Amino acid sequence: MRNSRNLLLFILAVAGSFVYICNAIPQIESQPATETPVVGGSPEELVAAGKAIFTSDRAQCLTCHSLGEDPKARCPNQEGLGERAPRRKPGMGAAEYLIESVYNPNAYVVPGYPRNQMTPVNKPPIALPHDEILAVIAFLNSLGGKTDAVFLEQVRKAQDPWRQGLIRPEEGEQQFRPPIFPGEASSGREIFRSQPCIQCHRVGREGREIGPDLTKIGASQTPDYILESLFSPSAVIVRGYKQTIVFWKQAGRPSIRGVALAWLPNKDRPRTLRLGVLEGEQTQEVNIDLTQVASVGDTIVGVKRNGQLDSLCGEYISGDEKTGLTLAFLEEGNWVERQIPPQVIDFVNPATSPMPPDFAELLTPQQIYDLLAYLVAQKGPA
Amino acid sequence: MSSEVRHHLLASLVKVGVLLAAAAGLVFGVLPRVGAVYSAPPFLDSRTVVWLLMELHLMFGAFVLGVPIFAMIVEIVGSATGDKRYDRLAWEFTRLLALAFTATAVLGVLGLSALVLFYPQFMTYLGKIFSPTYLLYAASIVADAVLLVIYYYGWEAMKGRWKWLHIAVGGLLNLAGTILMCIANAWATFMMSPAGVTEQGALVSLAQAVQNPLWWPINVHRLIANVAFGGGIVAAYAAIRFLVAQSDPERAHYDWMGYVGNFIAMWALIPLPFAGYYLGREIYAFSAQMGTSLMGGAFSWLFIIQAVLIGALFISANYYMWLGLRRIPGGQRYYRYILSLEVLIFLSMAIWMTPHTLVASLAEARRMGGAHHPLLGVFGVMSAKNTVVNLVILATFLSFVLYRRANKERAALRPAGGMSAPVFVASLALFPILFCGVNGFLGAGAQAEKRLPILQHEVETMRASILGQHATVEQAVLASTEKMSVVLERLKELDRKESELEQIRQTPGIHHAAGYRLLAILFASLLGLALLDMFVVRGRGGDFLQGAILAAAAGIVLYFGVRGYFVPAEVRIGYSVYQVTAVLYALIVVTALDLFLFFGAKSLGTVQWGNMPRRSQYTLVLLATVFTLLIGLMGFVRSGIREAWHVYGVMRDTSPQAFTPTMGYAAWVITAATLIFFALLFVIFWFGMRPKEAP
Repeated sequence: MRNSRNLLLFILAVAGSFVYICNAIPQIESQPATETPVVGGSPEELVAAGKAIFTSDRAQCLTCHSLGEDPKARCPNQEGLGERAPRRKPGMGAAEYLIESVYNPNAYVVPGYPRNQMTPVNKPPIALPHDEILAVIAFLNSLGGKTDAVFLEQVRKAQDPWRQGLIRPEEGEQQFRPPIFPGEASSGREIFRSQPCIQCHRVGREGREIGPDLTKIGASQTPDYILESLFSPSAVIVRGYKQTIVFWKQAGRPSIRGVALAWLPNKDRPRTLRLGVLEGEQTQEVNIDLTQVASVGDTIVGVKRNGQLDSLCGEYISGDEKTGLTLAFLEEGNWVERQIPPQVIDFVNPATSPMPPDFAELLTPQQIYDLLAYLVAQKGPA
Repeated sequence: MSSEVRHHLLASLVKVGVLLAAAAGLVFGVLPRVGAVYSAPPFLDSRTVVWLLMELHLMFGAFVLGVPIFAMIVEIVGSATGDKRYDRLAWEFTRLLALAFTATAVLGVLGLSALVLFYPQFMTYLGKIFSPTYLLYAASIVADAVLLVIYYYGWEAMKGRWKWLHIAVGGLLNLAGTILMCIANAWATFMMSPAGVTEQGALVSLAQAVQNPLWWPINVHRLIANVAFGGGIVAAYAAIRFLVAQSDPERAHYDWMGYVGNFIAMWALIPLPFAGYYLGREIYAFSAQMGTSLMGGAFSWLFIIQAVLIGALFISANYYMWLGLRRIPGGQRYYRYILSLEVLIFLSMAIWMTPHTLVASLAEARRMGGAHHPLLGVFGVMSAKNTVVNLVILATFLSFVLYRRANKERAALRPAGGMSAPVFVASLALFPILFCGVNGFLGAGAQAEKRLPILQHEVETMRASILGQHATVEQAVLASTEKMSVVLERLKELDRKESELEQIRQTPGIHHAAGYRLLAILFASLLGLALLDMFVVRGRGGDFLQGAILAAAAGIVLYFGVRGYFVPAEVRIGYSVYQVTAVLYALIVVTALDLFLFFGAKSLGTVQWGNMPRRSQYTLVLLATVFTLLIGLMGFVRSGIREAWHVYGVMRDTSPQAFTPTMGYAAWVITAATLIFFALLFVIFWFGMRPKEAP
């Protein structure tokens, strides 16, 4: 009996010591994080909201980052980030850099820090909504930088593809982006006028409106976008400016390609198509009699029918080679939508830009960057 | 099959059938009809109820999985040595399993009821993912029950030349139990590190959901912990029986039982910190935020408590062994080492328990110059803790070695026969040598190390050719008269090479290939010397070699522990593998040498079982209590690290108990579970250990 009592007291003493020690240390009760309301749209309001989110438990930023020197911090100190951000990654402005850092942290890791430390904050477990991310970036940029309406607009533009889910960061090799170097805008203007550019594009009162108007291109697009348009014009084609291809009913007559300027009298029952065609270094406007046309459109599809391969040309509506294509075909003066199932598709030549893709072959680097500087400077009338 | 076996088999199947039917009824009958997202019991919150029931289920589960492993090991030792005491010990503990198995199953059904009633939406979701595993789980329970009946009631029948069959049945019993544990681990670890599901939680692959990032680390950790726990409970039981024993033979028997239980518990405890470190690394690899919260955030103080408990374990286990030297004639020769080992272990545990950030008042913090003490703060980081835990393991192992040779005296030259045991053990040292060799010469890190200077040279050459006479790439590009396409191609190629260089630099193990090569050569040399000593010089250099190997291991542990303060985190993390490999290697080779040196050694007298002070038995009870508290503590952190998520990143916890409780509250729940567990175990032992003739 005495042994049992002693043993029981001993076990209770051990357990009691455990409870005592556990209650003697700092008692931390972690509450579930609550959402921080993002109120208003002014830069000051967004910076304040962003600070509240950044320092909250929900965002968990301070788990690894610090605001000020902290030897315990496992990730970069954010103090002065607004001042460093424009220079952090060559060819990338502050807004783009901050957006990329938040949505795709492994795209650029500050030297000296390991990869795979930070998860994209728009995804679980953090899963910040896009509006809150905008506020956080407004706050981060305010640390040493200036968060104003212009900056916020840049952030919204850089954030747009992420909101729409157009970008999915992949692990591994990042795509090569040509660097952005400075150039002479005045020399660029001369290049613009001497090259075929002016035949299709308008800047101010110069040029033609066959391609998109570039009068305000510097205000609406980033240097990266403009440079990409020079090297890979078909990568992003502005709506309404795809290359239209016309095949004639007359056998042997070569097809004609250009930008569809107008369908006359109207698109539903067109009789004539006005096409802007680049011939050599000149652009001509050509009226096409659609009664002479076998097919017209921006997309060519090869289909297998009864063992034979046939080519169709129509206007792209939706779909792809794997899921099937929906194209609009001009039949007897009317547009008719047809679906082409994937099993009959042999090849697809997607819509391309009528812009020549060989500027990189024609121009030296200095010429390219001068042209870029000229276009970036086009922000509309003063 | 005898009628007794048939009778017990039927009774067992009926029992299991009823419990499985109840579980099936809950999952397929009750769960779809529970409309609420959450509900709560009266008097206590739902989380605490589930916590208590599942904690008790886990403790009993650890017992019913640990004891068969313990019994199988002991039965094998008994069969190999011909000592009938081991066989009787294994049988004695297998007796307890039937009742303990029932307790585990009943607690499991009660826990399931609580989950179904209080967290129906969560359980419905888990069912959508894991329902195909339920059948296998049920089948494993049935297999476990059937094999247990055959194992226990077939003991008498499978004696003598059929002993191997009985041991095989024991092996199958353990396999069924392990499968059971692994299935349940999949459910638990999925909640921490979900895999095989979309962001919205829809199932993509059941295989991936089961084999999620933390599944194997938890399997390894729990398997080893079950063995330690089983041994600890056996030792505590023996200690209690020793204290109430009425005669010297009874005391001798239970003293011996306590020694065996403690021996197995300690041998399982030694690799457990390594398994825990593996788990921690995988948590970090899965989510750096989860890992940082674990070690540097809300749970950092919990790991100080863990260090206190593990410190108590190692100090108690060593103290028990030192006390045990008293019962061994010749043991007093080794008393002089005890003080040094004691100082080493106490200091090491003190360092392990030192937190990085002290609880200090504003005035104290100002005097210290911050929240970190200028001296003690140095010990609050992983580099120090990895170092001391390895030193404690080496010290504990040395205590074992001294204890083992306490009543033996070597012959001047040992005979040539009986090499199988030491050679077998020595051959295990090939694994760490191969591990180091592969990583040092052939592994991805070694390949990357070879490729790195070549790639660096290629990048430098390419950059130089682009730069030409210019200082920057910008100047070189703008000055180029070539077409932009040509320049772009070169820039693209340079970018690709630089990305490849960056990836090569990030290759795991690239910083450690040289270290592994050195270790492989060192370990191979020492093994070569050990084999030379065994086969050529017949043990003349044995003691010296053992000391040299232990010193080399301690040296490697200390060297990389100190060096860890001066290298970046991603390099430092790899140093722990050097330390662990050195310690494991030393354990293997020193054991092999010891087996060789003392095979056929002269005995200085029989061990005086029973000649132990009463405080030694309280030490064993302390061990079992601390083991149980640790199970509860680690269960709390494993579950709590999800914070306000049922399934981390997939399903939020929006119940009123979504917060992570304080350490103080957790201690009350863990202690309550421990005391209830001991009370139930006492009842099981009381009924199970009534006198019965052993086979």
